[in-house]
Amino acid sequence: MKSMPLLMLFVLFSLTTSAMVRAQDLFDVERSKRATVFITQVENRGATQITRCVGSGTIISENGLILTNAHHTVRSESCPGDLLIISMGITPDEPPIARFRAVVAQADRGLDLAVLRIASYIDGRLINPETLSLPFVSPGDSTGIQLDDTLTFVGYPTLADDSVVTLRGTASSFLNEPIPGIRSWVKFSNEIPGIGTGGAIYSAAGELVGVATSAYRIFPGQDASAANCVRFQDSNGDSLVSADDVCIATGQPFGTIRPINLARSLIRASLLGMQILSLNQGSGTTLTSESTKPRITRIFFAASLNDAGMPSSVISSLPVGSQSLYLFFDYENMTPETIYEVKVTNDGRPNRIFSLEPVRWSGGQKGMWYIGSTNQVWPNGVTEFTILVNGEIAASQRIIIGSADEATPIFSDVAFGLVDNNGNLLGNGYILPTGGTIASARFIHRNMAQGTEWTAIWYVNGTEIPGSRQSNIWQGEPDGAATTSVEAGSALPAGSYRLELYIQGRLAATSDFIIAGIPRGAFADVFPNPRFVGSTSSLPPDFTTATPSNNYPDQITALYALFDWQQIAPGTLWTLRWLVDSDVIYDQTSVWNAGENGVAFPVQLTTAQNVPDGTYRIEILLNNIVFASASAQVGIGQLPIDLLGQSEGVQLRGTIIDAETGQGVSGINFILISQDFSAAEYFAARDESMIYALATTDNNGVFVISRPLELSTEDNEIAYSAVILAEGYLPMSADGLVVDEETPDPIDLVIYLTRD
Amino acid sequence: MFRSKTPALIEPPINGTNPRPYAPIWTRIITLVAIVSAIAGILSTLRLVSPALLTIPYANAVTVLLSLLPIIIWASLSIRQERSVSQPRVALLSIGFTAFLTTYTLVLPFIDRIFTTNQWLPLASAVDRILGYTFTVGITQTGVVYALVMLLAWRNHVRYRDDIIAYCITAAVGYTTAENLYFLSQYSSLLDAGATRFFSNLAVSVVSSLILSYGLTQTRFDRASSVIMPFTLIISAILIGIFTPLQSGLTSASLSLEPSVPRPLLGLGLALAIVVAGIAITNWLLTSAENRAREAETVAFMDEYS
Amino acid sequence: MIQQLTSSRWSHVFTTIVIIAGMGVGFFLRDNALTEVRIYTDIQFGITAFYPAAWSVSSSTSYPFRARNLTERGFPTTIQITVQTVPDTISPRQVFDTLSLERLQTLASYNVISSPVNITLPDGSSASVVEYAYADSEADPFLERIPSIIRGQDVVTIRRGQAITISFLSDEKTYDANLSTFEEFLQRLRL
Repeated sequence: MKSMPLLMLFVLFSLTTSAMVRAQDLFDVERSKRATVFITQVENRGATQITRCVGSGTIISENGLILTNAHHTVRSESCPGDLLIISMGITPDEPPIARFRAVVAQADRGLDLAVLRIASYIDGRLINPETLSLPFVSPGDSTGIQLDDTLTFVGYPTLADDSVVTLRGTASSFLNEPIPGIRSWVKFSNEIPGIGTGGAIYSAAGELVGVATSAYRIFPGQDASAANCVRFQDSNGDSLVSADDVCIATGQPFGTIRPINLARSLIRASLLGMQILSLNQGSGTTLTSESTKPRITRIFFAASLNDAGMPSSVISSLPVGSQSLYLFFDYENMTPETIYEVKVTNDGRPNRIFSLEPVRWSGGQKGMWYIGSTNQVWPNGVTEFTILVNGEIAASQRIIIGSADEATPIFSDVAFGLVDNNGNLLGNGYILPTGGTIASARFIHRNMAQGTEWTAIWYVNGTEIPGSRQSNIWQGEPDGAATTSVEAGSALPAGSYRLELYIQGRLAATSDFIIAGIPRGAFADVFPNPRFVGSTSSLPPDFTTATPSNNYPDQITALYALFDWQQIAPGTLWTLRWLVDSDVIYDQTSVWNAGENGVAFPVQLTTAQNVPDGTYRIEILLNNIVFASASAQVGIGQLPIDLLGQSEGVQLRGTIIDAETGQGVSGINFILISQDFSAAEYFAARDESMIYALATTDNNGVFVISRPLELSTEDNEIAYSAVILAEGYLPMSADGLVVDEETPDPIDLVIYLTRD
Repeated sequence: MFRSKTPALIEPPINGTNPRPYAPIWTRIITLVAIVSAIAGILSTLRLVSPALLTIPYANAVTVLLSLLPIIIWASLSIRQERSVSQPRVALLSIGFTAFLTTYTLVLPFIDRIFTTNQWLPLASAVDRILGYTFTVGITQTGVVYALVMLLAWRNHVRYRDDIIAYCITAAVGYTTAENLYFLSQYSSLLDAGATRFFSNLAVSVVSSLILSYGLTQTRFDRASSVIMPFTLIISAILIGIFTPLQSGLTSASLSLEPSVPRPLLGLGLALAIVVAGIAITNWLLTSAENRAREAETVAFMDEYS
Repeated sequence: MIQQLTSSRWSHVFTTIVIIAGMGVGFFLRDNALTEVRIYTDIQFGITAFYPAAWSVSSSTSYPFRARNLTERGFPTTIQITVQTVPDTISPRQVFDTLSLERLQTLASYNVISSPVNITLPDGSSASVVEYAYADSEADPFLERIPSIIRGQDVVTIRRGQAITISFLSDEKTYDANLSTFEEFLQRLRL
């Protein structure tokens, strides 16, 4: 009996170890390395090409879609190149060699994610994507990542000097931001080389679950060493490589990861070859000029968020063992090219877990932002957050964690609406219709002693509403809910509103809301009449006369989503979402710039050929609430099954060796016959329609079959045949080649050819 | 070339020595085959047991040396043995040298470029391959050996049956050496694979030459039918025609998803079996023919004497 | 003795005859193997072609006939027929120009190396021939292969409102050796 605990410990250890081994078995490191590419953005300057930005990427489809970051691929002020060069090592252990050119298929500059499509060979010859058969990894699901899960980074560590590296670490924290929301970032415990940005993060099971993301940039007048600047080209033609030449920011080690689920819509749209474009010139985010310096103001902490992403209350300390903390701040003059960084220290010591290394700004131009985490214990001590924008300290704030839980007066959970005759708050809480003269806010109060001074201040579009400031003495119960209102002489105009509640001069709670749209009961109707218009010509139809429909034949070349809008103030953040067969292919939040009222806001969906069959849906959101939606069917109303199908199966490759010389034989054709025919039948007919795939050996005798071999099952046995016919050598053939679950992937054959 | 130091008189037989005035041929053939097969066997076994041992410096030079081994062994054995007899076979060197040069410069390029066997034979069906090799490589090789013996030895240098065997084998060894070198001039080869190929070439050449020499002795010494010679030539060619595809087929690895390697020992075994059987059968045939001829001579002599 | 000599002489005569006849059989077998053809018929496009028996044949939406020598090492020598509906006014030169523009996009170092030459096909119809060359490089980025020079020849004939292009492609090193196969193919082709 004494040995029982030991025995249990042994069993537990064995189980854990075997689980770890199984997980490692699932992670095909070589395949993931082969799917990793080095991306160089270059700028054509006459006969010379200047490297501007670099990073890693991962091939996610056999026909050449590459998942990476947007900051080093999409043309921008810091990366002004116009050509994307894709390099990869011939073997996973070799530095990359330039092979292809790529174009941006889809990109989200804020999320800093992009999907590239290989378009041509390095010499400019066009590629038929269907002929490509590149090693790829299918995107996995990032929702399954848990704290302390083992993650592996796969990417290039240096500027084309080294081969692909793998780094193991764990998921050390999850950071949340308003856009894209929960789990905006996963923090990696290990340090990823700066140039590895865009590289892949794999789970222990070998699933592609994230994209390593960090954006360094060299700002005028700043120390370039912070961005690990490298110069290796004579970009100014003075025959010297000097400080006057173009510098490439290779970045500092980082640990920020974008979860793969944020890239799903981009990947899906890329696979479908769809482009979504807003045709309204006034829409989208307006870039501010660099002279307008970004600003961070009103920085404060909150212990939690509500459904609209607003702070529950404003705090200055947290008790021991707190698991949730958010830093809020106002921002303005930010652009997608703005680099922002949050440094967190505990009692003066850097805290990598909760810090955010330099990344692209994913919000709008102006508004309120937060960053923080939930369900993770924050260490005790003085925690200081320092926000850096474009490499300069923009703001900082401290909070004490571990203080005694004092009964201080608190306001929290502010919600807005229209108050009915019974005093009930009507509406969805954060979007109010126009037309009313009174807007009300309900909030929770605790520990409010009678006689305590409190103040409510209302703002519209960043300006205090005259006469809205109400300084009061608390008269009610210490704990409960209370309501405060703002009343204007005329109807409250459409716009972004804010309420700040102070207790004894201290900001205690704050929340934003929007007034927009025409009242429909207590709710707002902001985007009426959403509809679809199909087009069979390459030119957009006349939207004023086009007849909308929710059913189109399968020959349309473009699909337009239209909607009217009413009473929405410019500057309001809104979200446009497209779905195909219930899967999101486009999700973009931007600032409304199209005027307060209008009709027929057009958004165009195009593809390389006809719009594929499917059910298309558009959703327009404010504050994550769907305000309008419409659907239309094209063709049979369902995407063709094989359109998104990634080919699955076992890859077959091998080396053909001359048995006599022991060396690889080049130029030999390895013919894989489809399951319906035998080698003898092929010999007899010599009909290429019998061929499943054909591969030719390279200089080293290596061949790779481009199509994966389908797995054979009990219900569906698939047996291939193979033939090698080469002048001077004995022919070889085999029937009944079966691959199943037990077959290693890839299959590496070594075939010895015999001379006659 | 081979000069005798002894007078052309038949010495009385001493125990264990050659009672004839010419050098024996069978032991020389057996020695040649034994040495070359042993080397091929050792190297092929080493490949299976410890391939690292075959990674030696100057491997290519060693392979060339291996390719020359048949002619080196044959020449050294011949020089030693022919020098020790009263009636050496003086045309051996000229036949061997001519066989080598003709084969290397004319015959093999002819097979390569005119018959273009590499283009169509390896990919043909089994029957077509046997027929193809018989009527291209086989007929050419036996034709060359036959022509060389006829042109350089038949009229002036054939005195005994063994002379024909010696000249045929010498031509075959010259042919084989040229074949080996011609192969190395086009492709590189691993030590063991080269040794196996060289032994196979030698084996089939030796046996086909022995068959050919049986036909020649029958024609020359036994008043055989005039179809015997062409018949034995055809048999020789067919032997080459069968052996070539059979040997490569046995050696070849199979194609499957499982690892599969060539089987050089099988090929080596086949070559050894053919050469052993070939030597045994032709030796028996030739010895029987010689005995029959001797008996016939004795009977004729007795008849004449009586 | 005289009988023996006579027998010996006849023996050598017969042997010589057997050698010569045997080599003749060898040549016959070789020619039979190398010149063996198969027939391909396409009713839709009215094509009857005789192609080398060892070659592999295929057809697709972009070409009604293609035969390739997959036993050849390196680039497989290819004969391909494409048919395109064209207006009656089109000239072979314009067909060549269109082909060149397409190939410039997809083939490395594509270069036309001869002006169109008018020839007469075996059936008496006229056709134009253009020669070109390009570099064929490895498409798979993980394989190492030195690009090879491919030489090609297009024979274009326009009939019944269709531009029929018969293309011959071969590695530059084996082009001349394989050209006779193409010429034989053209001789027997029925369009």
